[in-house]
Amino acid sequence: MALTANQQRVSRRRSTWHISRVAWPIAAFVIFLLAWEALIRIGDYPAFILPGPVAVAQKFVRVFADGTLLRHTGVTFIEVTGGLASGFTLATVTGYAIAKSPTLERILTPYIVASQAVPVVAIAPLLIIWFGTGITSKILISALIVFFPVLVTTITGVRSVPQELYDLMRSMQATPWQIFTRLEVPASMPVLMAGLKVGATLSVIGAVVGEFTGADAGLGFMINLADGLFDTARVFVGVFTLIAMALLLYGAVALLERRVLAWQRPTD
Amino acid sequence: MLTVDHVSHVYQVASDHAVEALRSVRLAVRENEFVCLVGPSGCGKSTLLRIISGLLAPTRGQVVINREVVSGPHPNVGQVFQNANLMPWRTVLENVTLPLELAGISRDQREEAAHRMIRLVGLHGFANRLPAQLSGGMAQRVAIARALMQSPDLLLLDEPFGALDALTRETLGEELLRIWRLRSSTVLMVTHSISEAVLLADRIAVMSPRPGHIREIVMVDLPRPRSLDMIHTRRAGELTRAVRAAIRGEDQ
Ligand SMILES: Nc1ncnc2c1ncn2[C@@H]1O[C@H](COP(=O)(O)OP(=O)(O)O)[C@@H](O)[C@H]1O
Ligand SMILES: [Mg+2]
Repeated sequence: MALTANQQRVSRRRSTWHISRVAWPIAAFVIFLLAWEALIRIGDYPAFILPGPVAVAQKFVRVFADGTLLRHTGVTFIEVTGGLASGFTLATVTGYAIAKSPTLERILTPYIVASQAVPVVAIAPLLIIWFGTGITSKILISALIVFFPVLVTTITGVRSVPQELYDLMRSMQATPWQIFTRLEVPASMPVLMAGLKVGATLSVIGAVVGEFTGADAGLGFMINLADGLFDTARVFVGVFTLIAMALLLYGAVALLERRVLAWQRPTD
Repeated sequence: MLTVDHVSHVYQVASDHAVEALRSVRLAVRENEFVCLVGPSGCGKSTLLRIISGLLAPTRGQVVINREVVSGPHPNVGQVFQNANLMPWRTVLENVTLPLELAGISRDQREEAAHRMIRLVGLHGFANRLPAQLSGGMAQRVAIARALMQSPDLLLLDEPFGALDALTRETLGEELLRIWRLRSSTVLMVTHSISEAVLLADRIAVMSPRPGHIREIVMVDLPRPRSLDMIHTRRAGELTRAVRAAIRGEDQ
């Protein structure tokens, strides 16, 4: 099937757009690696203070090959996704209830603010004592840190639904459930997606804070252990893997957002 | 067809502050009649329409549509607001099908009906557009199509063309007349344009300043079908002056 001139123009524009989107970050990364290597050469730092990119790459291959990296990454990934999913779910349900009920807002607000006034690092040891050093405590810590920003965005989202659209739905005899599914959910989706993005990054932080406090597996645990052994290259491997995980998660949410909010950028 | 029977409404803004919006409004509209409601801004026109549509319960009095006392929103009543009030995440088609979707009509049936309605309001070919891609006039056409989907006996329009430019406004006024002829339903429309009211209505109900009540009813005896040029006839000029005098509260 032959492409029309217009379609060709569109596909060409798309492909150049893709290349520039991928090419620039890669170029920046290569420059970063070169600068790093140059710094090592000039400063001549010992490996336990700052290992070079080559040493880190070698370490990466080693911990990857012996399965250590995958095991710890798997544990952290479960904690992060579990924390994000449970924190997000709990926050949206609570947020919706608060947005709809001023009474509930008055009752719950002091507790929610109090829970935010205490830093998560201060609560983390308690959760470890109560729920053990396994993944449950990390999921809870991660969920806790995800909870508040998502709660706030949910309340904002639900309250931003225009009154006129409620009137419209009522004038068409919509049931409360129809108002929820056909109006409130789609109307608050933009704000909700923003909350999910913030939550995605915070969930990684939450899991790592938990692993640093007390754990027997996970990337945070691996980093902590390697740090104690002056195995700085392994610390770098852990940190880079965490960064990759956070980027991946953020990318997945951004992709989801593009799909869910496709109506916000109609193609003309 | 529609009877507004001594309807009064007081908004209780705070425990010690109330706004009396309507005082004993009486109005009767016949089957297939086109009535325009004019009056100074803030006199309670929107309040009256909300009460007729069942969105708001009056403080006193009652509204009767087809011998039934209005106690809540009813499929017999279609409504168009000043802002088109489209859902930005739904296409034109999905916005128009919404009333039938809520009523549980199957997808095939409601889309077929919606396509017919979209053609009726002159938006053929725009079914898959999103509201952000429409002009103000087009959006208001979608709103009219949506309001007509449940084949209401009564169509309530609250300054439907108020946010549009003068040219679009005239075209849509004529369109509304054409649709009204084709669909033969009763129309009650709020407008702040006297010439628009003269051009469209069978009768014009003039409201007093707040607390609003119907101060006078002006019969519009221009022949139908009407066209835009009729606004320049001598009779139209007399009617326009009569309505303006009534709004100002002068005796003719
Ligand atoms: N929800 C409300 N609460 C309190 N006062 C209101 C409310 N809606 C309207 N009013 C007041 O009632 C009066 C009539 O309003 P409205 O019916 O919107 O007038 P119109 O549509 O003729 O401009 C105005 O003085 C307005 O301020
Ligand atoms: Mg009004």
